[in-house]
Amino acid sequence: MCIVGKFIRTTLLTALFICITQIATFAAGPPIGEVISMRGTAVAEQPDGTIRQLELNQPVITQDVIVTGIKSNIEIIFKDESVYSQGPESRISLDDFVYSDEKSASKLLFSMGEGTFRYVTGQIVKTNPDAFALQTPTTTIGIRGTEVFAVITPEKEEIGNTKLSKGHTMSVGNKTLGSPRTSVNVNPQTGVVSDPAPVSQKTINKVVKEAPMSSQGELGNLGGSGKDLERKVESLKQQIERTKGDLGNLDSKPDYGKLHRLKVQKTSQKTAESDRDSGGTSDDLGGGGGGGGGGGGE
Amino acid sequence: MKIRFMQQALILTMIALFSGGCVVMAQMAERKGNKAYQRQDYATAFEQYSEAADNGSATAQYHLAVMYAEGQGIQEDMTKAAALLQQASAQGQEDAQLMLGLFYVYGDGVQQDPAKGAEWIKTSAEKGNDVAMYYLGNLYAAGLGVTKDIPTALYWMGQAKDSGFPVKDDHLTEAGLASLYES
Repeated sequence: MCIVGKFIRTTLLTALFICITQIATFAAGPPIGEVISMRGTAVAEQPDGTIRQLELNQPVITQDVIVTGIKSNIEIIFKDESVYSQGPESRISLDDFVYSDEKSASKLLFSMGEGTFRYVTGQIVKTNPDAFALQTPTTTIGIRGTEVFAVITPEKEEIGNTKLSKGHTMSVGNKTLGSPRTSVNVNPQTGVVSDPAPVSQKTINKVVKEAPMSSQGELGNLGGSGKDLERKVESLKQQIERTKGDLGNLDSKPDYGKLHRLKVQKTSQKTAESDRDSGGTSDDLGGGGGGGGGGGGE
Repeated sequence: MKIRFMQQALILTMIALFSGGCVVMAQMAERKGNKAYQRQDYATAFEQYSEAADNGSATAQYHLAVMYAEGQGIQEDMTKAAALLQQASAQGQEDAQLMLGLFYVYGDGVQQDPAKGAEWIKTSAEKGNDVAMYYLGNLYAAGLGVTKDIPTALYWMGQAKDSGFPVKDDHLTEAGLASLYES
């Protein structure tokens, strides 16, 4: 009886805590996005000093400052279907975000502090690119359809893209990047932006490792706490569902990249499950079975 | 007689070891390809998938086909992509069968042939691929590559749903499917 009472009390207190957290969140503003994967710890700080511990599937709101802890990362999908990911010990302020049916009303302004960041553009960039800006401590990034990254330290800001849709460009300060897999370096002291140059594989490795995107099927670091292992499996499961839901019908040509992403996500999911089941000691991609074999597939 | 038997046994053993070795090498190369692909290191991924594909890995052939179709680490080439999808599909790789089917439906890298496309997509769907089931349901609803057949479209949408595909409620009724491609 005592155990049952304790269980009921704990359950009620947990439910109450969740309700209070949700009420506090919604009181501050409507959700503009949702956490779709994370590892370690991440918090959202509001200007009034309110701090929320973030967790999988929890909303983020305007003016949140997202801060990740050591060995942590977080991935957020926004209402305009853009996806943002940040690595360990990084912070970004979600200053302004409006996604509206009225194209000219949509806008986005995020300010990055130090850390590792990635952003895959969504509908706002497509419909109202001039109202979109990512700011670093030194400069402003403008985008016209791409996957951008930034690695910001007190000594240097490296900003570039890993993909650039055909016919699109991105700008960093007064420089235009017109080719995929190019980057510039910004001197934080002088504000001088270097000419665009091919981004090194080493830099891409760093941003993919530190700020993985489960939406792209990326697995990130294996291992971690039991909670992290469980989160990874769950987030990949949700991503697969989301990717399937995004497939269109026959009215337009299928997105072969998206179809392939499903396969990559499934392979990552199997590896994540294998990692979880082995207690975080798995060290191979596709080791869970389905991704590794020859014919037959999943 | 005994020597001849031993010679044959030795040859068979050698063949088995060689085949097994090829499979293991293909799997190792494919996994290296997967890791490189995740890092967006397309040059390495292309190299590793090519090695695995040459050693008979249907999954690597599928990945390689996508790299050609998307121009990742290599110049975009839909014809090569289609050829690789043919190889993987012939080995029974269901993701490749679905994509090859769509290539035929839309005429990507091959001569457009929706009927042939529908056949490949059906092959994949019958192997249990829920995404192929969803597309097959759409083909029957639209009458593309197959004779328009709303009850069969509904059957495949139901199969897709049961297999885990998030089919919209509108697509789970005959009326909804009938109106899907009305215009």
